[in-house]
Amino acid sequence: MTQSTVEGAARAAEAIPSVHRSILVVGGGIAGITAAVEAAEAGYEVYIVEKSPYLGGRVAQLNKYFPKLCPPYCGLEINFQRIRKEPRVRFFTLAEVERLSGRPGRFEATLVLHPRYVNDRCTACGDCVRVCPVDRPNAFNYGMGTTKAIYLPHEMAFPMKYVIDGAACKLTECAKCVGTCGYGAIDLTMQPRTLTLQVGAVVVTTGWKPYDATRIDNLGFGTYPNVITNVMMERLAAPNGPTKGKILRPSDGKPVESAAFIQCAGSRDVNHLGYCSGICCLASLKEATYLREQNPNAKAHIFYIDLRTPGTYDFFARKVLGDPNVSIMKGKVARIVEDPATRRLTVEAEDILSARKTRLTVDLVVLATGMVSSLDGTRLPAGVGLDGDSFVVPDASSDGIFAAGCARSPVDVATATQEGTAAALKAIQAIQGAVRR
Amino acid sequence: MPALVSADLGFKREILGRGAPDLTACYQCGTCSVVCPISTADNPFPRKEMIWVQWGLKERALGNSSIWLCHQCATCTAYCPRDAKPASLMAALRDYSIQHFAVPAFMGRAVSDPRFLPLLFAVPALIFLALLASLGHLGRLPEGPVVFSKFLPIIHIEIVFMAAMTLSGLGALAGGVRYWRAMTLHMGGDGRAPTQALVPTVLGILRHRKFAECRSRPAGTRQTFKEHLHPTHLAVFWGFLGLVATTTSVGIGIYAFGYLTPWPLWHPVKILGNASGVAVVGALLVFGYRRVADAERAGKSTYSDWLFLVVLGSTTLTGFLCQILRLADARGAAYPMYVVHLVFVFVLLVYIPYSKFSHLVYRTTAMLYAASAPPANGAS
Repeated sequence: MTQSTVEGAARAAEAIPSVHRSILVVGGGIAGITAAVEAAEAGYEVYIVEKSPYLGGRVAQLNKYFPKLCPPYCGLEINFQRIRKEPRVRFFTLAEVERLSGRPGRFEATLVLHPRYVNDRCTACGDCVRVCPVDRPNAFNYGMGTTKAIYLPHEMAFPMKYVIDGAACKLTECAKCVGTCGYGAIDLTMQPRTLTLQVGAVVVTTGWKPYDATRIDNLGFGTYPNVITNVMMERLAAPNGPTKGKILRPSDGKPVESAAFIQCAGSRDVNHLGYCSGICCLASLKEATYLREQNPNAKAHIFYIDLRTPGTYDFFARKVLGDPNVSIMKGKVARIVEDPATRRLTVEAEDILSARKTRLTVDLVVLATGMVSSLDGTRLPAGVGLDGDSFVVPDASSDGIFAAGCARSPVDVATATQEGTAAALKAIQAIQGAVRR
Repeated sequence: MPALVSADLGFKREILGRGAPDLTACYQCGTCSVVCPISTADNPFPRKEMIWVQWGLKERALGNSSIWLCHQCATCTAYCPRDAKPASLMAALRDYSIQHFAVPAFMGRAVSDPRFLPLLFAVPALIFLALLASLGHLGRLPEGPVVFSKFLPIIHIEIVFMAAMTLSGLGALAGGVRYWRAMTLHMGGDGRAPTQALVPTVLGILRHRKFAECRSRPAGTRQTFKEHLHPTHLAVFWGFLGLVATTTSVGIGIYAFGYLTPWPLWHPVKILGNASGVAVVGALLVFGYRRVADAERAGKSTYSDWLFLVVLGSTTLTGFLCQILRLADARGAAYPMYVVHLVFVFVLLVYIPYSKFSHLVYRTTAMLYAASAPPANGAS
């Protein structure tokens, strides 16, 4: 489709007032942003609805991402630029879809906009943080460390605005930040608002959340401080993370000399997630390189059932496994014992290839936990059909509702962006179909 | 050198049918071997058993100490990511191996096949009825207070049991030797010294050390539904030993001191016997209830499980009934009940090498083998 025909089609849609030529994108992660800019650049109005106070989703929380191992802002900044330059994209943070109804060309969506308590006058100067008396767990760092109740989600947040955690903040009882702010940017009386949008199609890109590792009762997460998850390892290695990028043991802040990566921690397991998320093997291989790049003596041991590195990712696996300090063993770790004095961890697995039980003592254990659909356990707008694992099934959803990225199934970033683009096209086709009818 | 292995898929089907239909779901992650509180580093189980059975490697699966070292705590089943129920497989393998090593082979079949059940009871019933007929007591009960030896003199019973138990003992010995040889062949066993390992092994059994480890070394907090196993088996084990001690003491009393039965209820041996019987029956009720209540997660019960449970329970209960009927002086019921009791005792003891009771032979053999020396090649 060339530029002129697309614009012509968009004008045609506009000409019929009963068909809305705008698209609602639910979820502002990499898939949603991609779908939004692609559709907008093709001439359609797009609304992004994002639950958290910033765009970028899980990708923003990574240290590096596949396939090229770029830092997340490499890809996100390009997309944020496209959003800034594209007047057809509007986005709402701290927003959720409460109701959705309609058919292709005529959807009505009711949004709830939760209060940010900080308005557009915020310059992100940070004066407010110095007076705030309340601490809260740093959600961006998966609970490692704290922020004040008023905080910037992270250094490169988009939009670059502070936000107040309404559950932690004492609001008008305290209000110290209000007087400190030199720009009048803080309004503690903000209330939730609702907003109704008329759109022609919907793209669901609600993404994923990490599996709750405390439910894996035999691997010690939540009990032993040096047992962490793969997403926490990303934050430990990230320059804007809790340790400024140094991989240190949570128990005592000492550098990690050895780490065990436990694959399928709660995945491919009828007691937890029945499926393979398809990315955790590569994530562990990638995280092994974080450790190796920091410490020439550090050792990484990967325990796996099947090492799944599909397609060209196999070249990456071979490269990482060429490092003599990275070892792999076929056998799932099912028991972890902590030495209470040193806080070191002894992991136990059966080495399937030699049929012997093996124990290994390491500084840090990284659980390669899988991806859970963000829609798991949430109240769902009508018209979105889910499978048993809460992933969106496009065929079971109403006409005009599409899905992309990890809302559909666990995928890597590259696949999420491809699906985002595909969903944008499908949304456009749905609107065009409604015009023709 | 690639070795030629013969796959016996009939064996696999047989094991699937003995309460382990889920084993084909196994994807060989080894979680089971690791969460197992008692499997050792150099001969871990039950992961390798799962693939041996999937592949139909019958001789290897049966010629390993693992199947009898397992005490069925079912932790593996609780943690299995595929719900392949490894504990059920181990139980099925034990069930199969009893039949496999049985000497003579037809006895193995007869005890494991429900169709032969009437025959198993008919043999002792006919023996005792013939004995009664020869004594002229058939249909003519002794007069006066109930004294069982007036009906069936103890010496006659002793002769029947001595003869039957000698055969049974030979069968048990042959089965144990065959199992030992199979382990030597498939696990390697040069320089094994079972005599040195005997005392610690027996002491370990008496103390139920492995059952205790099963309970005290969990991998996590998940319920296995077999938590009752240690105390319950301890009760049935010592209860049974108490009953054996009672019978032996009575025999010694009669033959060495001419102290004829029935002995009064306050007699220490009598108290031991009754207390042991209560322990056995109580423990069996727990076993039976758990088999029904936890069938889904803790493992399916098979014919041989129930046969053993019911025969041991009935033996103890008919023993109690004999005593009660004797004290009640119910002649018409007490004497027939005594014959029924003897039939159950016969079925329980004489068929030991072929019933689930043979675990006392095979498990001891496996524990002795494992304790003798580290296996040379327990690996696949």
